[in-house]
Parts: sequence; C-alpha cells; structure tokens
Amino acid sequence: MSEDTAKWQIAHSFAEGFNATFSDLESRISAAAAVEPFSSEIIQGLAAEVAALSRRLSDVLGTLPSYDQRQHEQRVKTLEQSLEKLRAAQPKSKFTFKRKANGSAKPPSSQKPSEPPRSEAPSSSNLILSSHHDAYLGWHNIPIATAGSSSDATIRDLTNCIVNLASQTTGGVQITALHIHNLKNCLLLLPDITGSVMLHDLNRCSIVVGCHQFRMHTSKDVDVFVSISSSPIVEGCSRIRFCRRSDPSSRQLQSEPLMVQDFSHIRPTPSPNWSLLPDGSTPPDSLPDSDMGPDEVAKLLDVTLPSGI
Amino acid sequence: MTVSPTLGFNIKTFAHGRYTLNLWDVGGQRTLRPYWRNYFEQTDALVWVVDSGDRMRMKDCRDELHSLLLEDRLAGASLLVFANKQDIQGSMNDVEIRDALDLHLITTHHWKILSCSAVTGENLVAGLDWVVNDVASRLYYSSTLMSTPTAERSQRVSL
Repeated sequence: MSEDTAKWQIAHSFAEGFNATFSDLESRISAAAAVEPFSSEIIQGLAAEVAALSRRLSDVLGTLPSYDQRQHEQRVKTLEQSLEKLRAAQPKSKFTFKRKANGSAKPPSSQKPSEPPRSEAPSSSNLILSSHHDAYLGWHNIPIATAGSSSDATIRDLTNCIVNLASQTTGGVQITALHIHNLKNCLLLLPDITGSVMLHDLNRCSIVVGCHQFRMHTSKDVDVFVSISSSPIVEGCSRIRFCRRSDPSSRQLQSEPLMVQDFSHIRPTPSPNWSLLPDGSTPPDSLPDSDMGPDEVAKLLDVTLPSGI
Repeated sequence: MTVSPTLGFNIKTFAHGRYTLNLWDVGGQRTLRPYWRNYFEQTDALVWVVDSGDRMRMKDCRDELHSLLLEDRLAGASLLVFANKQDIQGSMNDVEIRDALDLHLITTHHWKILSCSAVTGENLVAGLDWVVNDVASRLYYSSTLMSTPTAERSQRVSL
C-alpha cells in the first residue's frame, strides 16, 4: 500500500465520522431553533459538542488533504454561526463573568450536580464602617455585632473623613482581613491586620497600616505608610506613594526597601504608577483621641493628604 | 523565606518521591483568570489555595471553583483544596471552608481539603502526598503534570 493510499484512507475514515457528527449536530441545532423559548442549557450543550468537533479537526490538522481540511473547517464554521444566531435570539440573562462550560462532551444534565447552589456562603464581615462624610470616626462608630476576639472588617463609602482605629483600647478586636472600598479624601489610621488588606477605588487618601498582604486596585493619589512582611501589590492604580513604616514589634527585616509589585505593569521597566516617599517621611499618626469637628477634620486633611493633580 | 501572592505565572519542576512534578503556579487575581485556560491541557491535578482569613471572599471563591470544574480539559483531575493561612488566629478551619465552598457537591472530581499554612509549612507535604498518590492511582506512568490556579487571593505556596 503506497503512502498516498494510506493517507487517503485516513482522510476518508475521518471524513466519515466527521460528517456523521456534523449532520447530527446540524439537525439538532435546527430542532433547538424550532422550539421557543430557546433553552440555554441545550444551546450550551450543543456549543460544547461543536467545540469538541472543532478540536477533533484540529487534532488531525496537517494529516488531511488541504481540500478536505477546508471543507471540514467550513462546516464547523457553519455550525458555529447557526449557534451564534440562536444565542443572539435568546432572552438576555443577567450579565455575569461566569465561564461557559465549553467543550464538555457530557450532556448538560450530568453537569447539574456541580452547579453551585444559591445558598449564602459567609460573605459579610462583622465589623462595618460605612457611609460617612466630613467626620472624625473611631471604634465607637462601628456597631460590633458579635463580640468575638477576631473578625474581618469592611470600610466603605467615606468622603472627607478621618478614621482612627489605631488605638486598640476601645476595639480590642483582632482583624484577620480588611476590605476597603470607595473612599475619597480620607485619612485612615488602622491597627495591625493579621491577614490581608484589599483596597478598591480610593481617591486622594493617606493610609497607615500594618498587615501581612496589601493589595490595592483602581486607586489614585494615595500615600501608604505600611509595615508589611511581603510585597505590596497595586493593580490599575496611579500616583501611589509608599513608605515603610517602622514597626516596634517588628518580626521581619524592616530595613529592606519596599518592593512594590504592579500587576498592571508586568515589564522589566520600573512601574510609573507608584513611587517611594522620601526617607524620613513620617506618617500622620499623632491624632488627638478626642473628637474633632468638621472644620478641624477638613483642615487636617488639607495638610495631610497628597495634593493630587 | 518570604511568602507572597503570585505575580503572573511561575513554572517549577521538582521531584516528589518517585515522581516528577511539573507545577504551574498561576496567579488568582481577577485579571489573570482568563489566562488559566492556557494551562488546562494535560493537567492531572488542581491545587486550589484559599485565604482562610477572609470570609468575605468565600462566595466568589466558591463560584470560581465550581465554574472551573466544568472545564472539560480538567475532567478527571484530582482536586486538592488548601485552606491556607491557618497561622492567622481566627481563620476559618477546613470544615468551615469545605462547607463554604460546597465541596460536597463535587461529584466529578476526586477532592480533598487540608488546612495549611504557607508560612509555617503545615501540611504542605501531606497535601502533595495525597495529590501524587491520587493521580498515581489513576495513571501508570511516573511523570505527572499539575497546575495550581491559586484561588483569588493567589497565594503562592513556596516550598
């Protein structure tokens, strides 16, 4: 048997199986199109099988005569297009970033057991400080739901505020993880966090904190005075200035310069989005424990916060 | 030893017992998740690392894990969940994490959860032992491939 004959036979038997699957899918797609409303489960299942067929083709790429290859590719494209039409005609569901179960050879029903149920996982924190403006805030502004010895915490939606949680005397709660969202013109003096601090959407703020991990997203004009044993991380940020804060109870080597990682600047060149504050910069950590009026707060913020642009 | 979140991707090959492991350590932050799919091919095991100190992200963590397990190129891969940061007082324990992530609903993969600490090293070797033995019980050859999308906190377990 010549090499050509062998090649032809392979191409022929591949085409047989391929075309059978193609016809099957083609008729099932038109069947699905005939039943309204279109079931997204069925469409997903079909999409998975089309993807599998496409992969089957790419697996033998190069071993088929180029004419066959083009024919097969054309057929896969036809299927994809008719599926796309079906999808477009589907009623719009809520937009989510969920990944499609593409390429699964299993029928959709067998995937059901691994669908996450809608029950609520523990997702809220016990300590929440939110929705204030022009105020001096402390532990007394945080309703303590459960008097545990440790908890995670959330600080969100503050404008023109000074937050002083540095003195542990009134709180006495160890914070394991801290989430901070949407702050504008704020000064935050925070206690040591045993775990991670995640920050989103800060604009013109100063933060004094100690933590194991520090990650800041989509923020600008923020000064960070931090004692930390890992590298702080920024992503989607600009004009962030860091300063290593001396920590009297330091377990780690604090003398090394901070190595900030910019996840949105993965290049050998230095990131333009952050810089180190000059040596000797001192965090604004000596605040009166007593209450401050809005005018005093505004005055202090004015001299403390980064100027911005 | 310093322990930090994963910036981008790390690839490491090392020997564990009689086996050679190829480890793809992939960062977990949201912007990197679309790239995970580049690492699914020929993956024998998945190591999912969870920040046990952060209750607020458990729901996101659960949803991401369950949607990942639908990926057909991961079909049959063993799943090891590390409940990391047990060194932090007040962290959720392995039973709480198991329930928060609905691990009992996983029927398509062999899975196991172990509490661990990347800082103290607690259970890291035990976890690898389980993964290697579970994969080996399915395969005859002595070279295994693993990938480790670490959960959204993208904690690298430095060994």
